[in-house]
Amino acid sequence: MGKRNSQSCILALPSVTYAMRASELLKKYNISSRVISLEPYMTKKGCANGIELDCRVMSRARSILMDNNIPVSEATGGVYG
Amino acid sequence: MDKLIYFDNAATTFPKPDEVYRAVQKCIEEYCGNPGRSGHRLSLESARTVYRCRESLCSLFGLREPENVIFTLNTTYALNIAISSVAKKEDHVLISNIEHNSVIRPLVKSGCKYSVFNCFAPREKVMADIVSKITPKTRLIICSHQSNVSPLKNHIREIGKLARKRGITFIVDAAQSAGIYDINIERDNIDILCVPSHKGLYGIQGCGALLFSSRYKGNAAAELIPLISGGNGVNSLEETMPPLLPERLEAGTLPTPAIAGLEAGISTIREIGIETVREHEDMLYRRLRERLINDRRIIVYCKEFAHSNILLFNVKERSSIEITEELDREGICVRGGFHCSPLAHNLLNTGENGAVRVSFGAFNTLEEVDVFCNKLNGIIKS
Repeated sequence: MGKRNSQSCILALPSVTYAMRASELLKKYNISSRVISLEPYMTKKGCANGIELDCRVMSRARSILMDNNIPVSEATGGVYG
Repeated sequence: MDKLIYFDNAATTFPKPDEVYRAVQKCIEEYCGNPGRSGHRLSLESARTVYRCRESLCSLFGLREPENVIFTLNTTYALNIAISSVAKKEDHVLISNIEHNSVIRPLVKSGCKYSVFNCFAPREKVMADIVSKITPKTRLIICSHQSNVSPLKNHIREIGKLARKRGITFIVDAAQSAGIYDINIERDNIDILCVPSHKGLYGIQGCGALLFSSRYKGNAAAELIPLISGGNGVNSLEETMPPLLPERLEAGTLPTPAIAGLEAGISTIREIGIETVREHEDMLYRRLRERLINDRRIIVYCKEFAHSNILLFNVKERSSIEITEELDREGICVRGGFHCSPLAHNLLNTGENGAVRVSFGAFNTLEEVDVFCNKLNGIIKS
């Protein structure tokens, strides 16, 4: 996963549809997230979307998404800032 | 000129609810970026509109996963994706005798053999006919839920159940029934449902959808082949379309204003109530049928059907096109000819004349039906 800053983390999703679905689903669990475009170096195939959320809830968010069959993939690359 | 009377809602509904006009205008004026392409606010707002509409369609048709909704240009495009993907030359396909050219033409193009079952019979006979025509090579059953020229309907729930039992993929063309009848993809054992934005869902033209069941989802990614390939904002460095749906089948820019309108249309008809709309249209049909059925100068097809929203008729010894032209001069919009439905016209024996179709919508009134009848009487007398 990528990091934007020390507090926010990014989960990569395969498309904007899945990113929207992920964000809507997490909202139901009171987890805020923001749909973003991923930096090219964070993706293997170029042009993808992800969700940015608080690193402290990352693990829980990932579990929720996987439990709901939402394919969460790793966003490669280093730290932004 | 008298107020315009629009009785061609089977072609496209007119007018639309105010909410739809506002939604389309708001999209175009305030936020219409290209959904799923950029990270800026307009693109994301457009993507949100598209996603919300996927959710609305899911809710309306009994699905849980928005990625099971594929946006297309119209129902015909959706049917083309489904039929060209699933029907192979070596397969056998079953269709009903009220299918539109949007089913027949891609089916013929696929090169596969097909049989036609008769839906104009009691339910048990229809089902027996279908069973008798199933072969070991039957891969697909395709049927319209509602005819676009008559009150005839297919028993999609029973057919879906049979198809499920026999391991046959079931495609439903809901061009005339979406927004008018309660359709639940999972409950009705439908694998693929094809719908338009611009008819019973009261959106604008330029959009349709293909929806598939969660049961079919496992096959969908492998089986459903894009009709066109191109950019969609996903995996830009790859030369092929992305593997996952819905984007796999959505190349090019989506019609965001039309999708915004569709979402507003769905919301409006749900607020009014699908049953309320259907009962209203049925009331108009009953009034028209009552006024025409005993007129010896007029042939009413399927007159035994007491309930519908479509009435097909001919004036004896007059061409259907001539009648529609004269009605148009009187400010009344209807459609004559064959309505892209050769099988249904053959079934109803309308002959080389075709027929005149009156199709009601949510905004038509009983007064309009009475005006229509009076004008038609005047035309016939002259």
